[in-house]
Amino acid sequence: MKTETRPATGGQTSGKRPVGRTRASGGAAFALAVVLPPRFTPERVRNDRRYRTLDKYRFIVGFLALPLAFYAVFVISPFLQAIYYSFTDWAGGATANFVGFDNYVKMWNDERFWASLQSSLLLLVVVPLVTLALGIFFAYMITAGGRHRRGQAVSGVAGSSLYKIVYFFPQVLSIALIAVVWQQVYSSRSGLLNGLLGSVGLEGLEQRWLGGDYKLALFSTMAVIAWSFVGFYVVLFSAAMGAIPKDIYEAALLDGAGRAATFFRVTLPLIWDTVRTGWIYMGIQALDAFAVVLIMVPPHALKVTPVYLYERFREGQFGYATAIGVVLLVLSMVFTLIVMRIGRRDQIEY
Amino acid sequence: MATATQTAGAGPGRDPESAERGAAAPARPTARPPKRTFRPRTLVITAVAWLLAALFLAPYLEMIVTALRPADELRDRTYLPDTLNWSNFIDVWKESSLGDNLQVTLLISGGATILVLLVSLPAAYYTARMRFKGRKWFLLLVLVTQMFQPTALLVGLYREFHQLEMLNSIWTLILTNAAFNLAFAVWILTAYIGSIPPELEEAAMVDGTSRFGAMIKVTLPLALPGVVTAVIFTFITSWNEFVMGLTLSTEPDKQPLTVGINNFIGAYTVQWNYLFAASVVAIIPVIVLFAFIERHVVSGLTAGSVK
Repeated sequence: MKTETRPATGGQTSGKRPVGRTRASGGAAFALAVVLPPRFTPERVRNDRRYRTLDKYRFIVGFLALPLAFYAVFVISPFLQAIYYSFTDWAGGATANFVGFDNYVKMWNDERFWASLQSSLLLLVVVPLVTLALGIFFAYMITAGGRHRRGQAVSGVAGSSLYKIVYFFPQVLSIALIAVVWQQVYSSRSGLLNGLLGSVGLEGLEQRWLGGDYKLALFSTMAVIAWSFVGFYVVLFSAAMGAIPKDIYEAALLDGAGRAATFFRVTLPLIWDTVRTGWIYMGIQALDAFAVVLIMVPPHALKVTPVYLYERFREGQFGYATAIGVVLLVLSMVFTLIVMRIGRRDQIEY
Repeated sequence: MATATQTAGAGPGRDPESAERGAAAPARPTARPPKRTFRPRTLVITAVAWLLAALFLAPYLEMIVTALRPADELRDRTYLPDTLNWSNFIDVWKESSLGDNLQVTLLISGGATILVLLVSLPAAYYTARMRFKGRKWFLLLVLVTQMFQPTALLVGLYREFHQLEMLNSIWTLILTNAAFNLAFAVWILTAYIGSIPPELEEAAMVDGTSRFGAMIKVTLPLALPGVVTAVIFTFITSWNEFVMGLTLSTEPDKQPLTVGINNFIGAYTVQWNYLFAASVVAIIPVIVLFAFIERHVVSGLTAGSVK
């Protein structure tokens, strides 16, 4: 730092010289001013209009260049590469021949791809609905489900903060662990679920939850994904509900609105923006579902598109794998646009 | 201080429609008498709530019980083992590479979190405070990149790091995790800083503080709940990250815990007791972290969701 201050003071002394000289040294002083903190910049330069423009751009460069570089290298560049390589037959080696739409044609005729896509689309449609409905219900119970205590129009059920922590728990657990734990719970021989069914006399309901039937495996997977994300939405929605002014609830109560009416007429419309954002986020998570399916479900029972992509990648069919990746990206964009469109309502300010 | 600015961000304007309806309603005695607090319905709701809470906790119980189960009782159907084997917690570090994996995960999550904070905070500050050309485009870019799944970009990322010869480096995973969490952090911090009145900073600058100083001393402390939220989410997401760890690093002792666990169950006869002992140890730091800042998470989320 010390060595840097020296040229700046040099600039300051040059400021006392006749005007003719300052014009010439102005460029050098400007160049220094970009690098140095403002307090070392000479007063004369600081008041210059050109310096002010420069200062603005220095701000932009300093503050925005880094994130933009990050995006460029780690998000945009892989994205563009993915699009490019989806049109090639690249297999990991040095050569990648341009093959046009071959990979996409192959995908179109690939029955295993369509089977995986069917599972993924079912996850995309069902999981967000279930998770959000549960999340909203629990959040409503936590923030407004309690009796009207202490003269308040709304209050949560007893112990609401405890519930919040309990529901949020799965969120802090590593997703690989979730998959492993549930694999144990679902295990047909020593699993908690079959053990529970057996101990209450429902042996007839014991199942091979994951390894057998496709529908059952899909259902079990949905349950795990919903379980692991509900807590996040409980916390998110109860935060949004907590921000609704209490007097709105009081007004609804005066009108004689019950719990259900209060919920559908007051709470839901007021948190709708948050719900929509959560819906998009959950849909993208459900479409991915990579770790849970790869770790928990035996490969023969159920396959989702990201897992299918990964398998092609492992086989070295890089071109084909990227083409599947591009389809996944397009799918998530389309999903986002649809939710944005059907979820559009009049903005309510409060 | 922080809560005050937050409610300001929530917007004090009331919903005129419902307020009107409330005023027009026939005068009825206000809230029901507070004495009747015990009803069967309340009981049922409470019971259901407890049942659900138990359902949410059951897998953890399974995890802890298995972690304490002696190896020769693993195949039994009895729910509780006859003896509790505490030495599982010590043996697991000797018997497997899960200890290394845990260390790698801690490094990755910590590194990515610090990096995200260093990069997103200035960007969010600038975007919230300045009206510059391309601001809309920048926000759109942030929004769109939030929708990208790592799985779909996997091959592109793999190729890139292959060319850079950075496969199997911890830095690779730190950088990619940071990149994928940047969007959320920038987004929530922009919303949060935007809700802090700029007049506070201007006052500090009139008093002779530089813009940078005003940002550090005035805005940053006020934006702390938002910062905490960004930190938590980056940390948890990096902690849970699986697919990039699986593809971008292939050496067992340089893979994150999620991948280590996957290897552990794929390799040979699974020693569930060791696996779950390692898991119990692995969740402790996250739960402690979460317990400390749960309140901040909630308030930070409010700020993000309102705007």
